[in-house]
Amino acid sequence: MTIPALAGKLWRDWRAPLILASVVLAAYELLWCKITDRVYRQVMPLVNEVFELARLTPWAIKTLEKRFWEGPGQIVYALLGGDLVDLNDPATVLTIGYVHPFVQFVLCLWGVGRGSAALAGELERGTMELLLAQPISRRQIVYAHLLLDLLTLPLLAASMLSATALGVWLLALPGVHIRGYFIAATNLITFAFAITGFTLVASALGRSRWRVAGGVLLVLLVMFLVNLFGQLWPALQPYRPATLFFYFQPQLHILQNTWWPRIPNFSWSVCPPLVLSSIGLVGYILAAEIFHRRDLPAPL
Amino acid sequence: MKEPLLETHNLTKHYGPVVALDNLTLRINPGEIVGLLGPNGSGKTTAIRLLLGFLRPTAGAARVWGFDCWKHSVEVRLRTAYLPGELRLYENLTGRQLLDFLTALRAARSRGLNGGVLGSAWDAEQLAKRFALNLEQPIRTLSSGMKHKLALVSVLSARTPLLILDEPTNTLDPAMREELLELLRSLRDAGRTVVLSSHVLREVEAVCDRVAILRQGRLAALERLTDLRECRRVRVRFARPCAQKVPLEDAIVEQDGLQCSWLLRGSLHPLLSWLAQQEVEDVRVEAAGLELLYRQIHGATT
Repeated sequence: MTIPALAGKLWRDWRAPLILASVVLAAYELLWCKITDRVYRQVMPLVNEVFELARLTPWAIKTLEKRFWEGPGQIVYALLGGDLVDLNDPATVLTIGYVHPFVQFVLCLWGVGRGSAALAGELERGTMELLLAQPISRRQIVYAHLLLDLLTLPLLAASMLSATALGVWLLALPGVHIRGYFIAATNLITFAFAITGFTLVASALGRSRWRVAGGVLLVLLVMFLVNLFGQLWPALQPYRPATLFFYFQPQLHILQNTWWPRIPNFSWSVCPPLVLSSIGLVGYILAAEIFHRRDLPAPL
Repeated sequence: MKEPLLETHNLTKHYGPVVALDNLTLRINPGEIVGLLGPNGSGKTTAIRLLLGFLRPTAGAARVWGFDCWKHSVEVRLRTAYLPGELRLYENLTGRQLLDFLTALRAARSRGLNGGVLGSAWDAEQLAKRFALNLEQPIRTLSSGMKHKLALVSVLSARTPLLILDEPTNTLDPAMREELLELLRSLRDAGRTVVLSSHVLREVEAVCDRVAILRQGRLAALERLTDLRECRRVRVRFARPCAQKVPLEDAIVEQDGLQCSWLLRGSLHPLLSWLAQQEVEDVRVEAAGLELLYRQIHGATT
């Protein structure tokens, strides 16, 4: 009963940020549905008409596209999903919403915020002293946070998923299969879970929330850049699987409609939610053991 | 001999090269109030944090009710209520919500435990009334004194056999201090044990049965207050240097030219008889209570 009591208190602390993050993700996704609708119904028909008037051959169109995405454009191209996206197909344009850096940013912020506040933040505020003056173990505190993640992360993903469904229905976007989006939502949940678990390890070692958050965000930024530039430079390619962002593949889940998507440029397939949930779980277990064994400093 | 409720044996804590606590050996019996005294950095807080299982001892061990304070810290904390010196509460809760939350945490663990270590809502309610505390007010709007009272209510309403209070009278007004000391006496009379860490010697003297004085991480003295009250200091100023050997040399605490001080327990007759034969300019006999002992130990460092 200790863990539910603790989780209840944590739920109370986190429900306002949860509502805010859910509203932000849902609003963003509705906006992306509108962008998809505009690309599909207005922009692409106009572009195609121009191409037709110019009597461009498919080869010429392809060359034009290639030139368009050259140089720094490659980065944007890779961020949006590369060759997987066909701007004439709303079903593929809609998937960009799920891999857009904004979504990754919100999920990273959520995971780092949760993980850093959980232990280091509580130590910094001095409330850990009050909590641990009660007959509860340090592991129970960590596992109460795990229970909270199991409650909040599905809600976070559900807000985005329901916004997708609402947007598709309101704008009547054709060719969208919702099953792939359920798998993508699982990828979103496990990505945030992995980041929380990863941050929690640092949080179990630290005593200042902002130092932990800053350090983890720096590591995540490096991972993000390695994963991004690994898609452009073959020399960095082998390091991509060592980053959390490599396993953030909601777009592939949607487009390939499978739990085990084939990742371009890699000969093997992987189940990203499985990898990410394992990373998150290992992070939680490690954090629990580190926190259980360490000395608790007096409040700063 | 009574089984001790709290026992430390050579309890030691090092932070790298810094020795925060050095070989603390202490036995505290049920139903007594023991004061922990010492200036900042003397090891009081380290000792308390070791007792609660917040820190792992470098050497030695501490036990509460037979439970090792590091290995079975949850069992220890089930039987201990702790008031931290640096008090921080959940600002987003009201007083009642905080008490309910802490009670729920204690209740979850207390089930099936004999003796009942869980405070009742009635206790908390009564204490809040006694402390003139509004439990419906959000904690963030409370003054530091009121927050302190709220923490005291949560600690005192938990019916644990052991209470560890770190600077419990901090931020309390004089009337409330007296109220709290009275409450501590009644808890002792009800068989509960209190470890009281404080800087205020007068309070410790007023309420404690024994006092442990720490100096640079070491236990410098462990005295009964009743014994300390029997202790007297005799200051003498001689008119001229003594021709005879000064008696009771072991009890001399100060000797400077024509002045000499003794710290004595029991009868003063042997010393006064000897002084009657000397050329003495002035004699003063004063009760050498806790303050004197404390000054003796920390005089050089404080």
